[in-house]
Amino acid sequence: MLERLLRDPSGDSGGPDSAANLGGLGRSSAELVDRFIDGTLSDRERLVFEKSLETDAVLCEHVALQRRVDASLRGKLAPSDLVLKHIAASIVDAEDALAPAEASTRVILPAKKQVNWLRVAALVAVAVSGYFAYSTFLGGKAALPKVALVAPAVAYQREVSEGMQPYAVCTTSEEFAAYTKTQLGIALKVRPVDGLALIGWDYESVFSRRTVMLLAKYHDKPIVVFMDKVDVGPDNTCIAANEANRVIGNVFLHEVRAAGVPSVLDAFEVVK
Amino acid sequence: MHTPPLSQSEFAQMFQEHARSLWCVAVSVLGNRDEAEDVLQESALTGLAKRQEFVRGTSFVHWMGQVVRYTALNEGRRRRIRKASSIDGLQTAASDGPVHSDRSEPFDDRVVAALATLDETARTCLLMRTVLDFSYRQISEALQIAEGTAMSHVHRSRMRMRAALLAFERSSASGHGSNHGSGIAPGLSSGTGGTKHA
Repeated sequence: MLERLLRDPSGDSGGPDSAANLGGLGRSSAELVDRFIDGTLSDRERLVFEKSLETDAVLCEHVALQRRVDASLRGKLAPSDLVLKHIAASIVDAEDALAPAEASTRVILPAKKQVNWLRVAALVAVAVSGYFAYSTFLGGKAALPKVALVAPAVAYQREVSEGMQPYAVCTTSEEFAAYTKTQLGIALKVRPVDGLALIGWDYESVFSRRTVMLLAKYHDKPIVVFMDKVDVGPDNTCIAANEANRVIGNVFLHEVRAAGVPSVLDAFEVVK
Repeated sequence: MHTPPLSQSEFAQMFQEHARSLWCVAVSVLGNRDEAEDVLQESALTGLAKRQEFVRGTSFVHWMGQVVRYTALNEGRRRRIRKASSIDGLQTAASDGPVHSDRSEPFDDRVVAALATLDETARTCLLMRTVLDFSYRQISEALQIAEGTAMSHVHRSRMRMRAALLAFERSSASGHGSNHGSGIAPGLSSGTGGTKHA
């Protein structure tokens, strides 16, 4: 019965999936291995299969190898749910590139109202261009529309008052590195520091809309490290006593910490 | 067919729902977790900008999978060009061809190399089954292929990978370090297999 179930002499036809090419296992047996791994064997088949595993070294070798391969694939190529979540979250934060196209598909208003809207649009355009002309030619700074940004100290206070609740948590240094790689383009890690506990990540529009905040505590006192691309980082000449800056590669780090807490920015390192 | 375009939040929600499938598409082209993450992020923004092309009522993962696949293939191409234009790359390019895994190569790397020998669709099916624990029905829906085809891809892929790895291990055990003939090759971005799964 075992032979009939597990060994299929016709499976060894010398083709690409012949027994020789399947590591000494017939095609039907190889399929049984897969169904055993998948858990789709019937109870009877599974019993017979498990019994034959005790005596059939080749079959045993294939099952063990398949399990190793599966574990390896999972370990090497499984996605980080955290990263996926943040990629999806970045869509919400992204500029809406489709906005003009959507506008063109909106319901067209009756002609009279449309003319009125056009007039309004023209007036707005004149006002905006006037503002830019004023900014540029009369000494004003060339101003582009910006998102409302929050000062680091304000964002820090907000986080502290809200109880330092993270949006996302990395449970391993690999996840941490993957997160910073995705968000900032560089894989970072934090060297263990006595008394320092990393809590997790949150978002806030501080230096740009994409500033990420690492929430941490040093002996239960809060620390927030704001991280963003270096080209949007602030001028680092004006920082308070409980703040510090550091640049790693193209990433700008700005730390705000409770009184009496030492800076932890030196603990950040690039993952080689 | 004209349907109202997805809103940004609708797109984000659908993307999140299918992110794991889309991840598999990216990683099966590139074979590298970091690059797949970058490509997925880039694809998300591309898909967002093109979402008016998506027809409501059709498969989002199928449509978005195409965006991911093309982005991943482009990234693979860019990567090869960058490699070839560097001095190291020239040396690497010169040694391209069938690959001979070193005996000291870790098992994980040999597995990824064996994976690279598979057809792209087969790779995606295998990864969806193994890494994401997808049922064959879920694979068939994600890739718009028959359930039996998905099953067949997974079984054949497993058999071929086992055969390649066993051949390597046995030749290693008998003192022959390289895997001549086992067909193990590095990298997955060769774009092998013309089957479009997405």
